[in-house]
Amino acid sequence: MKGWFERRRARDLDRELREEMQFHLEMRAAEYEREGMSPNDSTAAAHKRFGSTSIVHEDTRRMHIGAAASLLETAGREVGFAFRSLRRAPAFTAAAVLALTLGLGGAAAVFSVVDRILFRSLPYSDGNRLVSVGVRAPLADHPILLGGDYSEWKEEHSALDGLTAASEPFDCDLTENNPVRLSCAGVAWTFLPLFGVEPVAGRNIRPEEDLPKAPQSIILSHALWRDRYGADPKIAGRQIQLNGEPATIVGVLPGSFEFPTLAQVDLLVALQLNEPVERKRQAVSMVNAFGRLKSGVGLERARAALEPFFANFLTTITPAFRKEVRLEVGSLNDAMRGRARTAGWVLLGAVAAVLLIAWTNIANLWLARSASRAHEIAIRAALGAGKARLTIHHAAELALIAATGWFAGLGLAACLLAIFRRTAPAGIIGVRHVALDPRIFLFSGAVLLASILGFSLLPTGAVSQGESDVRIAGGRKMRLRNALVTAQLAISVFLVASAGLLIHTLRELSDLRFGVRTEGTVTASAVLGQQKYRTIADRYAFVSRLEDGLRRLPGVSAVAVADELPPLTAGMGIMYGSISIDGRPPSGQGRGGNVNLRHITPEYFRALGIELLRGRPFMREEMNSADGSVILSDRLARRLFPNQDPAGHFIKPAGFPKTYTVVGVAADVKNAGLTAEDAPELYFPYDSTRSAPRFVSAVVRSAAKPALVARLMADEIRAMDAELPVTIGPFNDRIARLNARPRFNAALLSMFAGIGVLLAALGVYGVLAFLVTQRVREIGVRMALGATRGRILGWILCYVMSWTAAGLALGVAGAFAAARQFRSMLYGVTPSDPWTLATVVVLLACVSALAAYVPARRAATLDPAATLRHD
Amino acid sequence: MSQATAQNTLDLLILKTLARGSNHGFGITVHIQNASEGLLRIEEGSLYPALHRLEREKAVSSEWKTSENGRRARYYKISAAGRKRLEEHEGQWHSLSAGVARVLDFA
Repeated sequence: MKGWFERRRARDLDRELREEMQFHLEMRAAEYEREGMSPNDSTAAAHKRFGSTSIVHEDTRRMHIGAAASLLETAGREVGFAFRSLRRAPAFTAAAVLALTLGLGGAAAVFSVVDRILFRSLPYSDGNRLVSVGVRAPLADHPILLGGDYSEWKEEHSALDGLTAASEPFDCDLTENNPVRLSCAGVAWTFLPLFGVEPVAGRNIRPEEDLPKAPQSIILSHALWRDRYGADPKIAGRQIQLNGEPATIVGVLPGSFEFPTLAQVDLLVALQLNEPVERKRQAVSMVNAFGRLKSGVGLERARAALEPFFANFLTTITPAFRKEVRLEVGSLNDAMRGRARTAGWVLLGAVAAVLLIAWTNIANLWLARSASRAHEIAIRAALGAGKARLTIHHAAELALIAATGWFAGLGLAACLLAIFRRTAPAGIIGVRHVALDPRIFLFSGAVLLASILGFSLLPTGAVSQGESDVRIAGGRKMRLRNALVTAQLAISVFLVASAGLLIHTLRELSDLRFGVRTEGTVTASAVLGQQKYRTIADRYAFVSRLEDGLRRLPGVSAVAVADELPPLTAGMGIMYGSISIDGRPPSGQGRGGNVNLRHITPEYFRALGIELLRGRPFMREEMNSADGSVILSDRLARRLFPNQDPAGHFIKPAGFPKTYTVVGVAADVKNAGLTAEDAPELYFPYDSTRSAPRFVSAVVRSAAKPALVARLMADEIRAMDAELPVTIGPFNDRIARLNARPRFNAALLSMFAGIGVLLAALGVYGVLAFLVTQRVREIGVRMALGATRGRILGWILCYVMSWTAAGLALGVAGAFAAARQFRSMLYGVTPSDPWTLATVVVLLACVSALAAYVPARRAATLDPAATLRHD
Repeated sequence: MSQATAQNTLDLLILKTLARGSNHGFGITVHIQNASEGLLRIEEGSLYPALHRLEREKAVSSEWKTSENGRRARYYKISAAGRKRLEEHEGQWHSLSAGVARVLDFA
């Protein structure tokens, strides 16, 4: 402890030392003045000769207290000294901290996301042994099993420790006060045990609760439990109304749970598969099946073990269909990481690139700083400050920068992650649970520590080699700095080009021609529950009343209802080959690809602005008539009826009780998601006798403001059924939701590209500003010898552009190579899109020129006389 | 030159200057420059730390006095211990320089 007396003494010492140095400076100035200098110049010259008073001050003070001070005090003093020393160089400090914050913050945030996509084990116990099992058919985008097959296949015990089933998630409604539309998935009672997931409250579904017609048992997701039921620990046993039917909550899922298809699932319900009936094929449901491999069993052996079951399945289907299906046993790990994996690697590459830029930037700044301080370092070395001493001093400065950047960076990362959690689309593994990982704190801390050690050895290295005059950094160091900036520019090109391609993709997706006029349309979708809308007549009545109600809204020009709107379908389809034309037998069941089915009301085409190419729309009376009518999409019409007018012909899809008369042909619309190839389509009218799907999507075309229309629609539907949850919004909102994932990718990569460009500009500026300072004399001499300002400006810009060009060329080559790796993320643009690359090159050249302009201008406006007096 | 030699040389020059009479820091630099006919120039950056170190080592003492131009200045004065050290260093320096000179002449 330093006592009061001690501090007092230190203060006196400081004051005396200042006075002593002041006296010296005045005496020296007086001497210069006697030699004929002006008073101003002599004071400046005296200061110049003396060097840094604060360093002399510091060194002298150390003579008094240094010997006695403990190591800790030395360190404390060095930090204080480093702090003052950094405060004297605010530009350097700010640039270094900024580079570190942006680099580290962005990298930590994205790494936290990517880590779960690429490296973490699945949120199930021993997840590597989990497989998805099923039959891959041309209709489905993933393998499925029929209920009867599942019931048989789960008897396989030589390769599998068990087989369980889950349904696709479906919309379900919590019909209590404050009704809400949720996403439910049916699961067999064996589902959670097979995945090794323990409910955090309550219990799993019991075998007897999974039997057909048993009272419904449900397990809540952690988020639903927390948000709707206040994380009530005694929730198990509570009765709720699901789709208008009583159901019992039996348990709560852990927060880390992910549904194996990565779909958003709010609650699990007992699947209640009627196995005896399914085995007899009297009922056919489709399930996703998941198995657990016995330990030591590989995919191949599991496939071989299931082959007999698959052969048995083949005997139950028509011969034509047999060639179209195959057995699929795949690692769940691969399936879940799937598409996100490419994005994960691209982002990881971007993280590495930004870190590299940030790091080279700091290296560059530090090199420039140590070079401009060479004089000071030389003095301190001459004064007996040993190599260790200088290293400690530099380490202290770097440690201050690193600590500030580290804290700021992790703060930034936390903010970014909060944004990610909010904006991330479903279907990316782990993104809803993403958080800053303690390992990232430790890892980034370790990297920083290593960098501090490396950097702090740099400048003293030069001095200890005995370079007594290191004032002007040699050509070797300058070349190193240029190389670093060239590398930064190259990496930035790669980043910006990648982001550019994704943005281009996003624009292509937003500009997609759906074949639909979306402006001025508002949609509302709901699912009619089993309880209230048990019969076709109930549902048909609802649809009719809905249409009538909506038609009364202001400014309405058309109202229609369909089971689903483009670019999606309600998921119903038939095979092209199963359609028979005019009574001729079908060309071949199970072949020819998928044909979408859509149920619509008469004004559908008018409401969505879809052109009718031939024939007429449905008539209202067709919705009740016994003889069916159908409208074909253009694509389907051309295929079924090449070179003839289909109107008046009859078609009959296999398995349908009726024959349908073709009444019209509608223009093609996008109907298979955003990026997939369009499928041919069959339109059926809502039919009070036969088909009225539970899925209801109403579309209203109105001249009134969409927000007003949406509110009135909500009121209208509430008046019809206050307990029915609906989703209402402009048609374009639906598209935005479908765009969510590409938008997320583009946003992330753009953020990186932005950071990268900013850092690269900082790098160019830093190096050039340093160069100009170093060459002030040379520039002065050139100007004295007659170089014009324009030539100086040109000389510097030319110099910058030479390594900018090198960087850009390298970057373009890198971008070419890299973009090929994420072709699957692109739509409507090739990886080597010349326009994107050209734009990027021009953009970065401009950024580089802009960053160079400020120091170049300073050089060009130097006063040659002043520069020559300098020194 | 090793650090120790550089420090010893600077100490020697300071002590020798002060042996002629007490002086302030500026005066010491002026004397050394004049006496060496401009060959030696003491860096202020090294001078003051050295003076303060010598004071700590009790080779010199200091007091504040009014200077020739009426300003307050810190005057350094050589102590008995300082004189003893000067003698030692002077002897070492002479034998060192004589030795170096002989080696250089020999070649």
